[in-house]
Amino acid sequence: MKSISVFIARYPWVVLLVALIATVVFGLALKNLRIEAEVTRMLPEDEPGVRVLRVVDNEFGGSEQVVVLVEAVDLFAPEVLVRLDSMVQQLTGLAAVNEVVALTNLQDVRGVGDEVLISRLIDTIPEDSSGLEKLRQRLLGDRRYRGRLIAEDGKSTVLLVRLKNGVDRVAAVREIEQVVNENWQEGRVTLAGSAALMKYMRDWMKQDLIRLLPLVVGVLLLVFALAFRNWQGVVLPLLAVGLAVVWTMGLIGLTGQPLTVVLIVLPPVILTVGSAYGVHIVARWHQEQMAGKTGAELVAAVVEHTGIPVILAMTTTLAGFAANFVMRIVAIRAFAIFAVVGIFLSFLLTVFFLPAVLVLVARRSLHQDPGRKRCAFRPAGWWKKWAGWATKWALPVLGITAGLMALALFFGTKVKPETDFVRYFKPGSGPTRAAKVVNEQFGGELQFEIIVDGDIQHPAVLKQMERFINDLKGVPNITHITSIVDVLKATNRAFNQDRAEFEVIPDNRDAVAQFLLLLSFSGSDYLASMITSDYQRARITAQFREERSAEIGRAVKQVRDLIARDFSSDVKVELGGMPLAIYALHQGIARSQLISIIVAFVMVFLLVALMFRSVKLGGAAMVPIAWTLAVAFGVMGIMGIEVDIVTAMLGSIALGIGIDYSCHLIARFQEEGRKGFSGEERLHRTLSGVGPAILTNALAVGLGFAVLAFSSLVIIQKFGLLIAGAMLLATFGALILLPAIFARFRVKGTQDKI
Amino acid sequence: MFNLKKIKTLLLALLGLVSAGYSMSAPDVLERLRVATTAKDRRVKAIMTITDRKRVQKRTLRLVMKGTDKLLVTFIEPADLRGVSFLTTGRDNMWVYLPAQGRVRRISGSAVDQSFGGSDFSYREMASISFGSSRATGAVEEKEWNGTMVYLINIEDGGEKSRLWVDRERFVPLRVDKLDQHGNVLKLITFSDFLEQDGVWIPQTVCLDNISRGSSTELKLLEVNLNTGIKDNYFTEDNMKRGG
Repeated sequence: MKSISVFIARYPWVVLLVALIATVVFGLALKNLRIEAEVTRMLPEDEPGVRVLRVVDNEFGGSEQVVVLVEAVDLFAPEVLVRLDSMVQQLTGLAAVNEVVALTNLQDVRGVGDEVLISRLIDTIPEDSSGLEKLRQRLLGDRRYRGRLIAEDGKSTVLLVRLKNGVDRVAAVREIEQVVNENWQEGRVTLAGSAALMKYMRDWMKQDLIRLLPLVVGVLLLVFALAFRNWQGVVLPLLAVGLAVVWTMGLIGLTGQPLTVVLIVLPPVILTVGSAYGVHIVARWHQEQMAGKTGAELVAAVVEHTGIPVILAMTTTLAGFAANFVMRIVAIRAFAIFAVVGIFLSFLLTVFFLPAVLVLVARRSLHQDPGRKRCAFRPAGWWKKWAGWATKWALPVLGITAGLMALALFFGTKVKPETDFVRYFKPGSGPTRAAKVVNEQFGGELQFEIIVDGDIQHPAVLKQMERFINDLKGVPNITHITSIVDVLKATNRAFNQDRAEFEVIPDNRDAVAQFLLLLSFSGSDYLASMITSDYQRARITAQFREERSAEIGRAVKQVRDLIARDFSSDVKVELGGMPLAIYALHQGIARSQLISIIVAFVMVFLLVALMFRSVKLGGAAMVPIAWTLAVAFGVMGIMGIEVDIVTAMLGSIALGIGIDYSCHLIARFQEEGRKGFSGEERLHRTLSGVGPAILTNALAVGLGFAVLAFSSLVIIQKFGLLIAGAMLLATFGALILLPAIFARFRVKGTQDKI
Repeated sequence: MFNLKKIKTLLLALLGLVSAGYSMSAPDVLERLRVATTAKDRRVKAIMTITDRKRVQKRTLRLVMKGTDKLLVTFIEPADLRGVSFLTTGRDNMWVYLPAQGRVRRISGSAVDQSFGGSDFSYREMASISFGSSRATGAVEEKEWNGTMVYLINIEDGGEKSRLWVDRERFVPLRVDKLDQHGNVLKLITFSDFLEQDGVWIPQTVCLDNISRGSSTELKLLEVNLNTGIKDNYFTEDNMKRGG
């Protein structure tokens, strides 16, 4: 510690130069940052849901589709159908589009006498009213189209725009938006489907980053200005931590890691959490300066007294963030790694860069009146009263706290994970509304993907697929199922003069092979989304109208059971798709959230106990944290707030940040004890010594996170407000619960019982 | 006995020499190509290799063609498709025979002409390899392509636009780019291994790269018999069932 302070006091310019060079290097790497909102990128590639989506991408022309929802129009007007057809053709012509499935270009196989008609469902658009009425009746009367491509009332339709594999999805959605806006003036057109949702999310994440970061900085400046009332206290902690943000984000850019919806909260996290170290150093700096210390002596005093608690605060925070690494969700793991890096960098900058600037400033302001500098929250009488009150009411405070904690724990058990990504958006926003319409009128946005490997031309395999499809129809919320089975049955019927008894799977393999050959004349793409060209792999898709992860979970179990029941062992079947990806996130949170909190709790306890060389002190430090977590989750349980992909980190992050207050309080309590103070006086000196810095810190962190309430995404809003609330609870825990514990219990290291 | 076709080719070649120094028009180039590649009728056995997303399928076919609109295709391999035949006798007349069903059915509708048997060729592309129904438009460009001097012309067939590379010496097609309405290449067809039979140049290998789909089809001709005197009444339902 001493050698560091000597080095900083002697060579402040060297420290500044190193910081400057690193800032330029990492600053240049910021241009490599790219925002990624895709759900599947948050999961490992070997996750079944994701793995099957990649099979669909590589073998069936692409899994990603944009749903263009056209509402509130009289679809059966000739000019509307013509414009719809023109829009479909333009969309089909886009380079990023694989195919468009729409009413105007649907393929149909029909038998008309001895003829087999392979054509578009709407081959020519009727111009007279009787032709249009006939078309309306035909479309609304056919279960293959009604409620899938056309709403029951015939006033809305969807175009399913399937994207090519490997295209830039954001750019593709932008092009689709452009075509739609140019072609459609009447009614309402909205884009839905995972690709569109991801594009909106990406846009809003970008907007948040640009809008919220300055707001967080502004709030921190305001809090520090109120607390320190001098520019060093305001600017320096933020400057140090601002550099840490640039370095960390630059590092993310260098590693090519995408900015996911989880990683997007990192800059405000580093800013608010990292500035805490500066707050304690600057606060102590002023205290020592007011005591008349200058130069190397001043640096040494600050480093000596704040070094240990700041290191402890840093390591415990790191432990809290690092505990998120136990999560199976890769986006959270990436967050854990870069949060650890960012906070460590902010610590390094605070310990080296900040004192170096202070040394230079102190050299210039040697003759300033130290009495002019003072911190807020420092009315000595107020802290004295607090110490007395904490001592007197220790038992009732502890009793009530224990009761509240027990109640909160009960409600905390009711908190459930929810990974439905439509809920990332505000209720009533375009994406939420479109998702609701698609779910209610068109069978759902999500679809299960079932990949069947085997000799698909063999009637035995096809009959297993047929049995499975029939059973699948009984699974709640599964709506429309698409596969080669129905197409083959329709072709058999068409080839046999449209006789209903022929709507069956042919009994011999050659017949199947020959029908498939016949169907291939209507274009390779028609079959390509259902069966591979060598007929060894087939795809069944099942639309699902629910987006809540618990409902998805129930369906996943049922579909898996059906697969096990309906297919023989020689046919390999794999279930996947976006519902499974969403459910995997749900499971990832459900299984590892508690583990991450326990890991964080144990690591932090061990660190605190080791640092203070006392198990009891370690235990005491954990009480305010246990209180914070219990009440935070209790409130979530009472208010029905679900845990999502970002709030899944709430427990371990709140723990990592909140423990800092206890560490500073305990360190100061020990210091005052070593100076020979005891009883209420010792508590008073402790509270007046670190209380203001703790309050400043908590206010800065709390308000800094509260700013996230202005985010465009609900998921970020929730996270910000929950962490802000948790900081309030942690402050209460450190400034009320800990003094009460010290007052009631004899704890080794605190030397006496008050 | 005089071979009228050979005389016609010779005359056109002489005309070419005489008119050296004068540039040819696009319709001239297309006409010379037709003369160089068109036979009265053809019997061909070919292997079609379809490569789609790393999956390869091979099909052996027998093709019997007369003029620009009569075509009977019969599948020889694989075994499950043996005997399947398709017959066209005009733009809108197409029949299929499926041995497993034992029936011939007329096929109609706008979607029929999308793909020939899952390949990247459309049925029309299979039938009109000598550009019988194409119309040349625009100017002629002369350039070198793959070490050969070529005429590059624009052609149109039923609204579909293409660019055609024609060998300046032999007047055979070397490459066709099928374009979309914006002029982007959708399919790229290359012709190679030309063999001359009865004064007609036949490509032994035709490769089609479907740029927009990322798949490709190669048609390799195994046996070629030209001008065998096939009658119009060969193209019947009975011959479909007999397997050509």
